[in-house]
Amino acid sequence: MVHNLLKVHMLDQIPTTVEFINLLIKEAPAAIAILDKNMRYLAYSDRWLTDYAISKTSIVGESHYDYFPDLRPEWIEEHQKALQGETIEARDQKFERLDNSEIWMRRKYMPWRDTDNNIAGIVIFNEVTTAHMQLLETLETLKKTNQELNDSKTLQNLILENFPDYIFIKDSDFKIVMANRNFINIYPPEKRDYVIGYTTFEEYETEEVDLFLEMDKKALMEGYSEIIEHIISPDGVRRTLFTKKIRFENNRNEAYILGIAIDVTERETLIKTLKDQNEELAAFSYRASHDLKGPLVSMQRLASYIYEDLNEGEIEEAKENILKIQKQSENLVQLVADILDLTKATLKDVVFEKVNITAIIENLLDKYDMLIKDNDVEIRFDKDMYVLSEATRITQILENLIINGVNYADVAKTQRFVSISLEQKKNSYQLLIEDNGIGIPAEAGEDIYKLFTRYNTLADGTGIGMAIVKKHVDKLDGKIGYTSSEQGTLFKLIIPGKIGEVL
Amino acid sequence: MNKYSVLIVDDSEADRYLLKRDLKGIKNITHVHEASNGKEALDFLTNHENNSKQYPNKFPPLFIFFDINMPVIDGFGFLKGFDEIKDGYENYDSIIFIMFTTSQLQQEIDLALSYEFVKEYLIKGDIDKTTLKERLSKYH
Repeated sequence: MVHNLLKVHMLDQIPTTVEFINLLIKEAPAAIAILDKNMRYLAYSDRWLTDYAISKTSIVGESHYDYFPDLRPEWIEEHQKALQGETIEARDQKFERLDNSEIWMRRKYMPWRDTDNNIAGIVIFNEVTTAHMQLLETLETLKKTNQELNDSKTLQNLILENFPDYIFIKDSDFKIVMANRNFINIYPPEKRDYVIGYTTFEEYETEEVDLFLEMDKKALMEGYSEIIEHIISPDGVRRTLFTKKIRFENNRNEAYILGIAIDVTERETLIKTLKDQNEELAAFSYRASHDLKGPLVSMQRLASYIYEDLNEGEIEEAKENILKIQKQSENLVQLVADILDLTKATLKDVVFEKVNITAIIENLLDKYDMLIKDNDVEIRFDKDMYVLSEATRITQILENLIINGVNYADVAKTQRFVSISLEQKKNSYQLLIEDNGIGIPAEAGEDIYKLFTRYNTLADGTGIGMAIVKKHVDKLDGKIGYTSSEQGTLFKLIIPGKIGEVL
Repeated sequence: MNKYSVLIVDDSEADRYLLKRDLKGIKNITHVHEASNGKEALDFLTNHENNSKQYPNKFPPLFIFFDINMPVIDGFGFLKGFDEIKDGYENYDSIIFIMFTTSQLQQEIDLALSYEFVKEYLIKGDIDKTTLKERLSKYH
């Protein structure tokens, strides 16, 4: 009975003619075969013939084992079991064909019964699932690859976004196709949407663009280029960048340029500063030793003349020359002290403390009492002038400027003075040192702070004093300027900080 | 024997004294003028009328010894200044300039000798009376 074999709903709606059954079997989209007890074919689907490359038009009545002579023993056993009444189902199994290709199969063997309900044979349902299984395998591999790709992408993004400088990729038309956040952020906000997909050459000077193109082309042609470039970025900042450009191809052999730019501005600035400082040091060493050598040579020669004079009884001459030696050695001592002060001014770090400016000035009046009286100069200043600063630096600044004012007092003026005043500004204080002396020549300008420059013979100077003042002002992050004429000189110092005892 | 005067331009009183003393042995020198910087020296040289009267036939000086490091106008300023005024006076192109300094910086030596009126370069402390006399005797 057909309905033992086929369990279908609405069975009574379906025609049960042999023709219809044959049609179903023939057209089945899988390899199905109905065999008798002796494993001879009774019916089969077209797919049975095509799947197993059987080129005969009909194999009815022929043995299954004629077409599958090398069947595995386990399968033959399974056939027999099915003939005994068992339903055998084998899920997807992989086999290797004779030509080493692989094949996946699903098999089902079911017994079928005749009208007397006796097992009359088996039905074999086979499905070649190679494509399906291979697709599944490929899918698994793809999933894994996809996961690795995602991990890779995550890592790439992590690197790009955290890279402290600039990474970008250009295509062979020099358009930017990728850029990290830092790169995009050097463009002003309104231009950031016009970076990817553009060359952005309009944002730079022609000379800069020419250099970009040169390096791009070099990378495309030779595979690599590197340069240290000084540019003004679209955000207006001057940068010195060490830029490497590397050519690479994608899987369609299209050429791209990977650009990596490291900001070396600080390094370059540091290198320049070091070079400048070394030159300054070398020049200073030379001048200092030269200035030391002069008085020492004079002292040597004076000594030999003193010896001569004493031998010849020229006592007066000898006495005068001894005084000359004393003066030379005083100069030397002063020079060495000034060099030491200048070195300290350059090297020491600033440590803030309460500085009593009034007390410093009073000390200077004491120390230079004779000089001030000889030049007949009045020192004017207020009581209780305090600043938060460094005592040593303020002292040396005041000492140099005030005593200069005393030394360069104008004998032609009757009321000679040097006045010191202190005024609080917003976040800084202003120190004014004013005199009515002979003034500083107009041509001097900023040269007065240069080492070993002296503009006047009236006072014995080592030419280092003003350089010391400038170094101290620089170290305090302050500014110094002056105006001068025959009426006198006014020095104005503006130093960050506050007046008074409390920060 | 030709008698002549010399001018010493140096800001160090001691160095002017020493050179003056070294020159004492040379009998032809009638006067040793002194200036303590380039400006004083130029003023002295440009004060032609008065000085010619005061030192008849002995002005301008035949030799000018000059140092480099001096305030107001230094040695190079002096050379430049002299170069500019020398053609305005008779005989000034026959004055012989002698650099007299402790400096041994080649740039400075070359710069000084680049003026055709600077004929000699002497190092303080390396020169004594005898050598000085020899060097000067080449020129008169």
